[in-house]
Order: sequence, then structure tokens, then C-alpha cells
Amino acid sequence: MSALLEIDNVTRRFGGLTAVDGFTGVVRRGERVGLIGPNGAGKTTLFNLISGFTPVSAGEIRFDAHLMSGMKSFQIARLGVGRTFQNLRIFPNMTVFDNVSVGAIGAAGHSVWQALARDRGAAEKVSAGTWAALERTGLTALAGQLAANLSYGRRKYLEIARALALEPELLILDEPAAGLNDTETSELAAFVERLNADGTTVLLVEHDMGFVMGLCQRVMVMASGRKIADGTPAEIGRDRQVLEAYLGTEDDA
Amino acid sequence: MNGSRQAPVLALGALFVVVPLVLYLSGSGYAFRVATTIGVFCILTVSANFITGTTGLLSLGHAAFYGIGAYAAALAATSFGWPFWITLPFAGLVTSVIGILLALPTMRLVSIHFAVATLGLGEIIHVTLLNWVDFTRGPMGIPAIPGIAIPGLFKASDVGNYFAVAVIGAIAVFAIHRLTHSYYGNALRALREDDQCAETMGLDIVRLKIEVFAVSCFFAGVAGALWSHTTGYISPNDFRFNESILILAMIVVGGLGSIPGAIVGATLLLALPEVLRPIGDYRMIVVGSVMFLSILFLPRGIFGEVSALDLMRRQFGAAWRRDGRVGWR
Repeated sequence: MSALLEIDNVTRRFGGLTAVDGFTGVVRRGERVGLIGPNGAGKTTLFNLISGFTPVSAGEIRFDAHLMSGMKSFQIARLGVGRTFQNLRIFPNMTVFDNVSVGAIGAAGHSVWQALARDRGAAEKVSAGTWAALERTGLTALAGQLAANLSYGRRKYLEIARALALEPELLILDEPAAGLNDTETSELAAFVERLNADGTTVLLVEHDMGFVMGLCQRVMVMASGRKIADGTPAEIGRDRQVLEAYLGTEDDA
Repeated sequence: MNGSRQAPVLALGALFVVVPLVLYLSGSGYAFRVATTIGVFCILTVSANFITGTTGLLSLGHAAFYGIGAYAAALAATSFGWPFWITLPFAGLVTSVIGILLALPTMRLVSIHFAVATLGLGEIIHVTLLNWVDFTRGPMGIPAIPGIAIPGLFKASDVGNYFAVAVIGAIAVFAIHRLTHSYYGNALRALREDDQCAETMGLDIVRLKIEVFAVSCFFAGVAGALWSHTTGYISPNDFRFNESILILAMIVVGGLGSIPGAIVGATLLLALPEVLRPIGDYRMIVVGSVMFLSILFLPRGIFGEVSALDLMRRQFGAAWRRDGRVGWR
């Protein structure tokens, strides 16, 4: 499998704090990769670096052989990186359809002239992309509802739908299972597996170990901004360094 | 298909037949002058609503851009003798260009910071109009601006002014309607709701902001040109901060983000003092109370964005599917 996302010795400092410290890792095309680590390990910061939310202090991130460090986040999105957020960031005062359409607009590009001329082709493309993403996430029947009226679980799918409307090659999910009950969590795992089977590469951060270990083919472990382990769920479960990072060393006790 | 598009037909019918007929029957040029002022302010509120309501960038300098357009048209007409059909687009373009140049440094700003920056811009423009006496005649203003006329066809008159403002206003509202009630409008609303998140969805937010500023300033400039030609005299005091606040009050009372709301707001707050003229100075208390109570009981406005978008989707939306009109064509 070829590398889709390459994170090469990436560092991010906030003043005196080094949130991500020389992280190196690869996500290959078609993989389901989990990123775990204790609170404050730098996982969300790493996600923000990948999606261009925050610039890297040092190192390089490449997507499909394109150098992404220095790109704006809309350029990274158009390249094929879709993401969701840890604390849901839906557009509450817009309908479900309009929320998802934003991803499709991002993929198709927007033009003030096309809007003035009421370009039919562009509008049809956005509509088709939006409906396809709504169908994949089971939100078709709720298309006309205001996003603020959806249940918490539905909002999670709404965020995923919006990212899918970008038709991303890589989907980045930041704590997708947070706040879901057991049934919803296993439904979500099955859903992510289906997306992956349809050809989307998935990278996710999650605290729910059962979810990550059951879903991901490979897991990277982060602690204090560094990668301390990288392997199959079974390997990670046996890794001494990982256990120490989560449970502390004998000396600490 | 045609049966579903009653709203624009009704609006155009009211604008070009019913309202002028009522004004004519009232038998005074004054009524036409009030209606003309309302028309100019409708262009202003619809353009201000585009940037502040739909895109969520609180602009406190809209009256200043209106002033740039008014001065551009007045100076071009009095110095070069240009006719109104040239000064009108000229004023729009000048305002648009100056607006973009002034606004470029503010494009990274959001919320209250953008508002304060536009407040500063508005003051700079006002003080420039007031003190650049060689060019603008300063506080004396510009008198004797030619009216709207086409030689041999029609002479400048109150009725002619009304129809000129009505035609230009209809074009302005049509253009902004297309930008608002479309996927482009969805992009702008997403930018308003969460600009960072919108950018990670692939929207070029800096480009969107510049485009919105250009369009909004263009029509503010056109409104200014119409004001110059219909009143015949302008001075810097017409374009002060309190005018910006009045425009803002109109779009908030009408409904932020709603084009029909912007029109309702401008019409209500300008027509009310005229209708209430018999009760003298008490009328301003009534106008203030209407503003206060409408915000208290209708915080989303008299014709809020959600209902406006619902109406427009029924009129101009597209389903691309059997199950309901939720998208734009």
C-alpha cells in the first residue's frame, strides 16, 4: 500500500509549550488508523496541523506526495482531507441539507459569477454531492430540518456527512464516539468500516479503547507530543511503554 | 412552475403599479419623495444585510461607503457633466474599489474587531469628505446636482425619480437575491456561523469576504448616486455614523440575514415618522418603541432569515428529488 499521509518529524510549539514534538508517522491508502494517547498528548493539535488549522513550527506533512505545510486549510480540504471536530462544530442555524452542502461547495469551488448567472451545472453538482453524502449517513429524511434540532448522535453523523461531501480520500475523525452509548458506538464502528470499505482512508483519535482496538487495523500511540508506539492493536496492547504512559511507571507509584 | 413564483410577480406589481398609483392618488410630490428615500434606503439595507446579516461581518461604516458613492456621482455630474446612467455605475465601481482597498487589511478580523475597524473606516471617510475642501467643498456640500432625466424623453421630476429608484432598486435586490438564495449564499452563511470550520470544508473565506465587500460597497455606492441625483444637494452630514446605525437598526428590526426583512425594516422605520406626522414630536417616541418592542418580541426580526429562506426555497429552490425543495437551483 502506498503512503497517503506522511507526517515527517513535525513539531508544534505554543510559546514555551511543545504540543507536538518531532512526530513521524504514515497513513497508507485504504487503512483505518487510530491515534491514541493520554489527555494532553497532542493528538488534537496533530489533527489541527494536518488539516492546516494551525501551522507547523518544524517538519513536513505530505498528502499524496503534495507538501501540505504552508497550505491554507481550504486548499488542504480541496486536496482531499475531510475532518470532524472533537467538540461538534455544525452550523446550527442552517438546515441539515445546507450544512452538508458546504462540503460539496468546498469540493466544487465557489464563484460569485456562477451564482449571479445562476449556473445550473454547478448547482446540480453541489446538490448531487450533498444528497450522496446524506444518503451514506442516513440523514436523507432529515434534510430540511434545522441542524440545531437534531439529537446529539445525529449531529455526529451530520459532521461526518459534511466532511464526506468533500469527497475526501482521507477522513479524519476527532473523538467520533465521545458521548455515544454502547449501541451507538458499535453502530458507528460498523459505519466507519463501511466508509473504509468504500475506499475512504480513515484516521481517528479516540479515548474509547474498545472502539479503537476493534475498528482500527493499526494504532499509533502518542504521549507528551511524541509517538511512543505504532503497531496492530494486539501489539499495542502488549507494549510496555504504552502501559506506562497510561498507567504510570512503578517508580511513580 | 410559473404558478410557484408568485412572490416576484407580486413584488414587482406592488413596486411599479400599486404603490405609484396610491402615491399619485394621494396627490402630492412629497409622497413620491418619501417613497424615493425609502427606495434608496432599501438598496442600502439590502446591501448592508448582505455583509452583516448573511455573511455575519458587522459593518458600522456602511453610511460612509454610501457617502463615497454619493460624492463620486455628484462630483462627476457637476464637474464633468456626466449623465446619471454613467455616474450611477461609476459611483458603484469607485465605492467598490475604495471599499476593497480599505477593507483588505481587515479581512483577517472577525466579530467585534471587524466592527470597530469599519467604525474607524467610516470616521476616516467622513472626516475626509468634511475636510478635503478643495475636492469635496467640505461642510458646504455640493449643490445643484442634476436630476435624473433623459433629454427629449423625460424631465427630472418626483415621479421620474421614484421610477428610476424603483428600477435600480429592483436590479440591486435581484442581484443580491441571486447571491443570497443559492449555494453561494450557503457558503456565506457557513462563514458567518463558523469561519474556521467553513475553511476546513474547502471554502476560500478571504476570497468570499472580499467578494461580499465588493458587492455590498458597489450597491451602497449606487444608492449614494441615487441620493445625489434625487435630492440635488449632499453634504458630509448625510453620511455620518448615526446613518450607519440607522441602517443597522433597520436590518435588525426587519430580520438579520433576510432580504425581505431588510426591505420591511427600511420601509417601516422611514414610513412610520411620516405617517405619524400629525402627532408631532411624539412620533419619534413611537418609532423608538416600535424598534424596542419588535426586538423584544421578535428577536429574529419581523421577517426573519429562516422564514425568508423557506419562502425563497419554495419560490426559487430546487429539489433535484421528489422529497421537498431543500436545495438551490
